[in-house]
Amino acid sequence: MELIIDITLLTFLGLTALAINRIDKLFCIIMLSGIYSLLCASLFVSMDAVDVAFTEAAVGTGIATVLLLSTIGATDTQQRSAPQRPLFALLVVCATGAILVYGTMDMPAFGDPDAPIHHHVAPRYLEMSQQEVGSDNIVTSILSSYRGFDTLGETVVIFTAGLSVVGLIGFRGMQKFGDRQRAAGITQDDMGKHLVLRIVIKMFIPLILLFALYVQFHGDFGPGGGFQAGVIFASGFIFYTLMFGLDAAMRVVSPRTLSYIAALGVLTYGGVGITTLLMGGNFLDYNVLRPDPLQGQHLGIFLIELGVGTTVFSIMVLIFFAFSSRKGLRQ
Amino acid sequence: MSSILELMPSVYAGASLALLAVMGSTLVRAILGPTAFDRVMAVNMFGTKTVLLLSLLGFLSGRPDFLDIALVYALVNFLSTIAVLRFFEGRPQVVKQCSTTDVDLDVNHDADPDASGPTTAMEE
Repeated sequence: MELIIDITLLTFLGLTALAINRIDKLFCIIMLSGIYSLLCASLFVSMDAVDVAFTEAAVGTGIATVLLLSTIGATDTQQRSAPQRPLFALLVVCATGAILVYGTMDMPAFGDPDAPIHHHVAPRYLEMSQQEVGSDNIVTSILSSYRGFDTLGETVVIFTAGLSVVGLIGFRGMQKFGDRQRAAGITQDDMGKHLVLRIVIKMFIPLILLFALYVQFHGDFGPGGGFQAGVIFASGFIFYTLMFGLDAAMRVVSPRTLSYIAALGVLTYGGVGITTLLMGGNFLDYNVLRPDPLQGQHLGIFLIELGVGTTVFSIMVLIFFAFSSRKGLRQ
Repeated sequence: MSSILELMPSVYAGASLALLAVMGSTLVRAILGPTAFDRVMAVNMFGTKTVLLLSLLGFLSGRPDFLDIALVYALVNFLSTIAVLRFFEGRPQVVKQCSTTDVDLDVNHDADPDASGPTTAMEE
């Protein structure tokens, strides 16, 4: 049964990818990439990669689509056709693809128990993480404890990416945008038109924020964690911005505050590492945080997940603010 | 009572197959269009079907605690729909640019962005 579902989902995925290639209207491509993300999440769930599916669910349809839309709002809705037919490029792509397919022949079959990936460190993670880390969700214990250093790197990457986007797009002329919006009279009159939407969203935003907090603090026991929680929390803010305008959203939390919060998240993560060093352990070795190693692990994971969550949330909202203030300038 | 419980896996399997069929026809609408609103509607519906499929997959594999993922989609799926409709709002020429055919789209008649915004959100 699962095989049939997998095959059907993969067929849909292939069809969507082909359609994305064939269509040159950028808007249609954005819509289809939303479907692509939904299909990916379903596939991940059916292949038991629940935490990956959770990330795809949080990012794929919501924030990704909104950012892509802001981009075509600021640029163009039509893809430019290539000046010539790049036959050589096609040849290179086909050759590389053939080599890659040839390479996969040496790889162990999917789910093969003798595959190297199941023998190196995986048995230790599976058997010992309950005693060593004490987290029910093994993915969480690997990500935030065994591989805590990698996750610190990823958080710094997100932080840097956000700073780069804001540095490139920036908030130049933001005041002007606010004035223009007010001059166009779309602050109050516009709102009255969408009464149903406004009330529905007002009811939904607290639920979204609450669910984000649940994902944040439930990461030890189920799928999810700081990254997903940050993205969902940011989705709540984007809802607010879409409905009540950029000015109102920036009055709730300004870009300056957001950049401070983003830095605070990374500092929390790094600070936990430094604290463990000062308390006589290795970098990010949470065992020394409390007398009982398991309690120490629990506290350490809680703190670094909080750091990841705040950084991801503020960077996502910051990027969205930067994109939408840009869009306002072009209108 | 036990016979009903034994029947449940095949019920879940049948429901999943039916959902996949619906998702396939929605995908056709999303690819063929032709207007932008067909695609918006298709994506929104595809998201709703994904919520259902994810829930069913959880019960099929006997781990309904993965309903969290379906919940995320139920909460944030209509974000993109609202963003798209806000994007089109009051800009009928953009709607035309975003449709694949040259059909003369009567925006004010059957596909008014102001009218379809709240209804689409309500269906969630």
